[in-house]
Amino acid sequence: MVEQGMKPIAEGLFTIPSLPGEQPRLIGSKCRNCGRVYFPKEVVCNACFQEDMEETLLSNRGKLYSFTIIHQKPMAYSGPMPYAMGLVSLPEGPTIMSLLTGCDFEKLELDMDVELVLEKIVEEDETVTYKFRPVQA
Amino acid sequence: MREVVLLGIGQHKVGRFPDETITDIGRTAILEALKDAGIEYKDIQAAYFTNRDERTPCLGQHVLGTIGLTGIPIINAENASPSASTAFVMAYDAVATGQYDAALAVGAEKTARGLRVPVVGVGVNINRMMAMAKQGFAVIPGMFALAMRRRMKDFGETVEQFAQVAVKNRKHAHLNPYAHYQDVMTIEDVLNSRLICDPVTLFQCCPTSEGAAAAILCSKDVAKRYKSDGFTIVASGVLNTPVSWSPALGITTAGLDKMAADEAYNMAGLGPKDVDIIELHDPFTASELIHYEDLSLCEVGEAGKILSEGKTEIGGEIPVNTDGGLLSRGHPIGATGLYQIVELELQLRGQAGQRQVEGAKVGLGHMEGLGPCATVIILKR
Ligand SMILES: [Zn+2]
Repeated sequence: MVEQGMKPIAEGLFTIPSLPGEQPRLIGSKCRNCGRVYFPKEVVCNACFQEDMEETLLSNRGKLYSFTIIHQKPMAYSGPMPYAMGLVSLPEGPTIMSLLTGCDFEKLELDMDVELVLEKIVEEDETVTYKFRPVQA
Repeated sequence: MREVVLLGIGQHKVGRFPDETITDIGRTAILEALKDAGIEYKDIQAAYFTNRDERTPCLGQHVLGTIGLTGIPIINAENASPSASTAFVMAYDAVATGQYDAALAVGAEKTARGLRVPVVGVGVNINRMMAMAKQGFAVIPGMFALAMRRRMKDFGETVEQFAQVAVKNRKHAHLNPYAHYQDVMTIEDVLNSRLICDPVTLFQCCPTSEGAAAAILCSKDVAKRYKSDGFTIVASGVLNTPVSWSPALGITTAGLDKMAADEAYNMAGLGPKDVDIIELHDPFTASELIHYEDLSLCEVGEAGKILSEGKTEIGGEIPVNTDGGLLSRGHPIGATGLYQIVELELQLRGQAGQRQVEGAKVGLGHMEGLGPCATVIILKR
C-alpha cells in the first residue's frame, strides 16, 4: 500500500488515504444538469454541454469489462513486462481504463469484481497510480 | 447541390520505399490520376492534401510543387486514419456546392515504424496524456484486444474467427500487385505470430506502410469535356465526429461509426442491401467485425457468423476489402482513405483484374480514426 512520501502520477485523479484503514477513492466529476459522471474529471459535460460540474468521489469497486495482457512495451511505460490492463465499469456509469494487479494473469475473468488500490508503476520510483485487483473471495 | 463524378484515380504501390521521398510518392499518384482523368493539371481548381506523420508545414505545397504551382488553393488536413477520405469529402463538398468544377484529393505517407501510440505532441492536455502513457495505456492494439475478449464472451466469437479476417484480407491482397503484403497465410500463421496484446498477434495488426493515392472529382457537366464514357457518381460523402463518452462505447459493439454510415446511406438513398462491395477500416482484425455491424451488414453479434459463412470474401454476397484492406494492402495512414476509393473505382469500372467482383455497381468506403472521426463514402456506377 501507500507509504509516506509517495507522489500521485497526476493531480486530481485519486485521493491518498492519510489514516490507517482509509480507502483510496477515484475523483470524478458529475454533471449537475444531466447527472452523467466522468473519470478523469471533465470541465464541461460531454453529453449535455453544460458547464455545471461537481467533483464526486467514485466507488472503489467495479466489474472487469475486459482485459488484455500487453507483451510489447509502449512509449513512456517503464513498469514490468508483460502487464495486465483492463476496462473497469464503475456503478456510477463510467467504464475506465486501468492497470490490473494482485493476481496471476490466468485468474482474470470478465465481469469479475475488482477493487481499487494505489500502487507504484516502477519499483524504484515513488510515483503511485490507481490500479484494480480482483476482490478476494 | 450538383452531381459530382469521380473523374480519375491514381495510386503508388504500397510498401516501404527508402529511395523515394514523400514528394516522389505523392507526385506519382497525382500524375497517374491526371492521366486517368484525362484532365490537364492547370484545370484543377483546388487541391486537398493529407498526411499524418511528417509534420511538415504546407507539405501539400511541397508535393504539388514538384509538378508546379498554379495559384490554386492547396488545403493541408490531418484527421488520423480518415485523413485522405477527409480530403475526398472536402473536395466533394466543394464541387457539389459549386465552389469549384474540378478538385484534387491526394494523400501521401511514409508512416513511422513500430507500435503506434494514440497520443503525441504538446498543447493537448499533456499532463493527463503523459500520465496515461506512463501507466501503459498508450497502446492502440490493446484497445482492440479488449474488444476481442469482450466480443468472445458476449457473442461467442473465437480467436480463429478473428484470425480468419487477416487470412481473408491476405487472400485478396494476393491478387493485388499494389498491396504491401501479398503472400497467402493460414489461421495457424496468424495465431502463431508474435503476441502483441493478448489475444492480438502481430499478423492481426496492419503494417506501417508508405504510399500515396489520389482522386479527381468533377461536376458532372464539366466532366463531359474530359471523358465520354460512363462516370462513377459520388452518392455520399460523409465526415462526422461520432459521440464518444467512454472507451467501452463502440469498441465491442456497433455504435460509433453507425452514425456516419446511416447518414451516408440516407444521403445516397440506398441501404446496405444495395451495396455490392465494401472497403472498410481494418487496422486490427476485431475492427473489421465491429464495422460489419456499424455498416449494418448484419445484426450486432453476428459479424463472426457472416465472416465464417464466407459472405465477405470475393465470391461471397458482399465482398469486403477486396484489395487486402489495411491488414494486407497496408496502412499508409494519410493516404489509406483514398486507396479505398481507388479500389472501389477499379471494381466499379470492371478493371480490378483477378480480384474483380462481377457486376459491382455500388461501392462503400469507410474509415475510422482516434479520433474519434469517421468517414463513409458511397460510389455508384
Ligand atoms: Zn450533462
